[in-house]
Amino acid sequence: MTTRFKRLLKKAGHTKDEIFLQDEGLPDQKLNTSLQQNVSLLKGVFQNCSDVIFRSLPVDGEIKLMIIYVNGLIDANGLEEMLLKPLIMAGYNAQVDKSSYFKEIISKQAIAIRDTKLVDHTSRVVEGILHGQIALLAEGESEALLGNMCQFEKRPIGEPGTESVVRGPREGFTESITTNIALIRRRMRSPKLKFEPTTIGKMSQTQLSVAYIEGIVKPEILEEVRKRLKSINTDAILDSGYIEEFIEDSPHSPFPSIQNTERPDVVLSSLLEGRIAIMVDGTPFVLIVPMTLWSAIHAAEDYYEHFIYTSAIRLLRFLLLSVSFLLPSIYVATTTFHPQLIPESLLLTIAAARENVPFPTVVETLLMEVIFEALREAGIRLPKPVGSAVSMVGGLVLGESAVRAGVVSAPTVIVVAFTGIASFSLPRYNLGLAFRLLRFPLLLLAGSLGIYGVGFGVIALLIHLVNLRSFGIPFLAPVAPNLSGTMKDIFIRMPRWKMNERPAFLVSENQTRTPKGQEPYKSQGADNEDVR
Amino acid sequence: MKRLWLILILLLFLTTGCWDRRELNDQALIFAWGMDLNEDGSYHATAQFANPHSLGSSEESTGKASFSVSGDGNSVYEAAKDLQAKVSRAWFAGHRRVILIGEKLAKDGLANILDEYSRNPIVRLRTDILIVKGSSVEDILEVSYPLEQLPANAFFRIHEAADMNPDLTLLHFIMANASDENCPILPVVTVHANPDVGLQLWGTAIFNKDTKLVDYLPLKKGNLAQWIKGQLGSTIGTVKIPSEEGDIVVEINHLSANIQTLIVEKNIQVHVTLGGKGILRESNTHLDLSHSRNVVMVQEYLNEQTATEVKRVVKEIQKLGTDILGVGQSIHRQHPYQWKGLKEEWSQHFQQAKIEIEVKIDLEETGMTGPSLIQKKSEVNS
Repeated sequence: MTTRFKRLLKKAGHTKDEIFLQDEGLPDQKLNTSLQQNVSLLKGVFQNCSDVIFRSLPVDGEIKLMIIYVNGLIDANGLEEMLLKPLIMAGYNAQVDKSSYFKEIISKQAIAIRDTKLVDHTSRVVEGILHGQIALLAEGESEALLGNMCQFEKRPIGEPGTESVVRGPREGFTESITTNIALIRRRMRSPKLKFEPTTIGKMSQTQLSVAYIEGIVKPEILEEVRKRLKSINTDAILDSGYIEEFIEDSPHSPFPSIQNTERPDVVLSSLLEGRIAIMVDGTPFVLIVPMTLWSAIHAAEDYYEHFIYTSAIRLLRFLLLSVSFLLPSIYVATTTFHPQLIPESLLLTIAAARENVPFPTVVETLLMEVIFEALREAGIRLPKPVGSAVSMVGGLVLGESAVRAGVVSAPTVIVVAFTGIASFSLPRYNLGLAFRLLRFPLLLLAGSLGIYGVGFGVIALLIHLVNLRSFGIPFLAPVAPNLSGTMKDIFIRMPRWKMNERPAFLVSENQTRTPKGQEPYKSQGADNEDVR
Repeated sequence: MKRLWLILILLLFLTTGCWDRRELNDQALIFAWGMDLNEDGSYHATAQFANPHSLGSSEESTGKASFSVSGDGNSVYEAAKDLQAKVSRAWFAGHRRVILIGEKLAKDGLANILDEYSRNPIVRLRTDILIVKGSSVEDILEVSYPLEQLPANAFFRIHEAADMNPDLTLLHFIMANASDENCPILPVVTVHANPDVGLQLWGTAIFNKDTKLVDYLPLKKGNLAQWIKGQLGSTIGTVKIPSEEGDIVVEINHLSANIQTLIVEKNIQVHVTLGGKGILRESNTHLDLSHSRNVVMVQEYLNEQTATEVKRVVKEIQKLGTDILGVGQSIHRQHPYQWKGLKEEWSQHFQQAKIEIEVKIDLEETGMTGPSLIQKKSEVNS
């Protein structure tokens, strides 16, 4: 906000908050007994809201009942069956005896709506209506009946698009937080699993849920999460990304300090390690804190496939992580500064390929990297049918023809292509983004200072990484600081019967996860001798 | 202030003057280097450059893969600068693996040219340095070799295929030259009469302590000398069995050498034990080699005949007074106090030393057949 604007505001006699809170200016007064007055008050609030339906129920030719709801947020069939029909059957006989009409129909169970409540403030009525409840107003009543009939169109549960597996559960989160909570609860039938609801967003009133397992989670981290969530003050939350930016530890770092996932099983396994999940209504992406760098090389499937294979794949991912970050820089540094480091026959091949290329290697590599990023971006944004055309143009026309025309050399294309493939192979998209971005400054360093520059860049990166924290947990834990005994699930994965304890740096007391001595054969003892 | 620092750091990257960035297509890659002596005593340097246009996989490649350029000067670097005047790109010697020395320069002494090869940081110390016998260095660098894209690699690979360590030639030469005990040796190449093949590893050149070429040893004899030095990987031995007509050829691997010295009243006695593991590769005799007594017999003859052969070579070397065998080194290690007295006149002492050779080769394999399959059954001697 510019100072000039601030000054204008001051002149107008507004503080920042007042401007902000103007949207909140709902009439907050008690309902009175006149239906007419109540309805006109609410109609004033919902002026021009064509989706808010006011439906009157005439009784004996006189309008004595009014049903108000948001079209599309409630169960239309249920409205007919469970509210309208019973109401018509019961008839309206207000204040026949002392008890109010609403209390009567509730006590008689005249209407079959779950979760009903009586409110007497207009603001509560408005809030209820906007949350998908049905408001029932009656002549002569100073209270309104709110009934929960919330039902809206939602995407069915599908396979998560960003984290697909060959083996393992295929359910992914949807946009509905109720569904998402159910997906988690279904896998964890323990009262220790808690979901703490909050609402954030002055206008959007987005529901959030902080999930954790009592007894495993560290109370300090949980308290920190609550504190940070409480301090968010904004108008609307449309995705968990909004939350992430408000609560992350180092907002200026390219590295994310909060993990996101679409998979219930990933959320649960994180909860079991003492992490905390922040679920946001309206997005399938659930946030998990604290995050460490090593999650970049951990995929959900790692825990479902055999541990030897998984360990090998993790080492490969670690190699690919380094490749995606370092390969172009090392290529540029060695070919332009230190050709003596390249084996002789490889050097001859590169030299022969470079012979007609008009650009310096660093410019050539940068050019190809930018083209590659452009292709990738175009591939994501374009509608699917056009996407294949992009890959055709990119792969064939640019790659093949550029080399043939002598604009770029074939080794550069190979280096850039391998880098691209390597960066695709990281399971965490947001961490991959950080490395993808950082390879450009590193490339410039390599092009200006050679291997020295690459070393300089890598050291600077390492200094940055060891200084990062995610909710108080070092980003490189448990490797740096080195917490021995918790390394069974970092670079390799030990078999499940060997991973006896939860990561100590994340967990409060409940350390043991799998009691020792469950190795197959060994634990089953001598009885099985014959079976073998 | 923070912003000023940032700008200063960014400006640093624009200071192009101090960069050593050099694109591959701005460099001429040297793969072989030749030094010889002109009539007037100045140096004649020849460099073999790779021609990148004709390298690589594409079918467009034309012309020879390499070309040579020469220059003259009173020192190595002066000759190199003279050479640079004829090359359009700055030359890069980081991949130079072969240095060829002309016979004339070798006889004049290498002391003055070796310094540059170890001082320049860009130059590899792991270089193969060879003596060119019977032709000029310039000519041998023009010879093309069919198997290698770059003829420079042929020198290196031929040397390597002979089971020697071409990487260490220069290093060994410098180390031997700097020591009190040893005399350096270098491998020798010549131009082969067959124009298709072009090159041939000829043998070994023996240098004295003044880095001057003294004499040559042909390939087989040179190999035996290197065996004693412990720098040979494998060799072959031919055995004549007195009772049989043909020969038996044995490949000897895992060569080892042990030199024991004894000084008795100024008389130096040296006992050299040569070991190895033999694999019988060829038998043109009637012997049935599936019988162990025949194998033992072959082994005994092999050891005996190899020892005689080695002794002859050692005599030859002793006559020259150049200790290329490492005898002096062994004496220095085994009798450090006596060595002080021998050091000054080591050349003469070496000539008079009594060197005994013992060969202990274990014949371990005789191949797939016992008697030669070519022989009729009646002819086989079991």
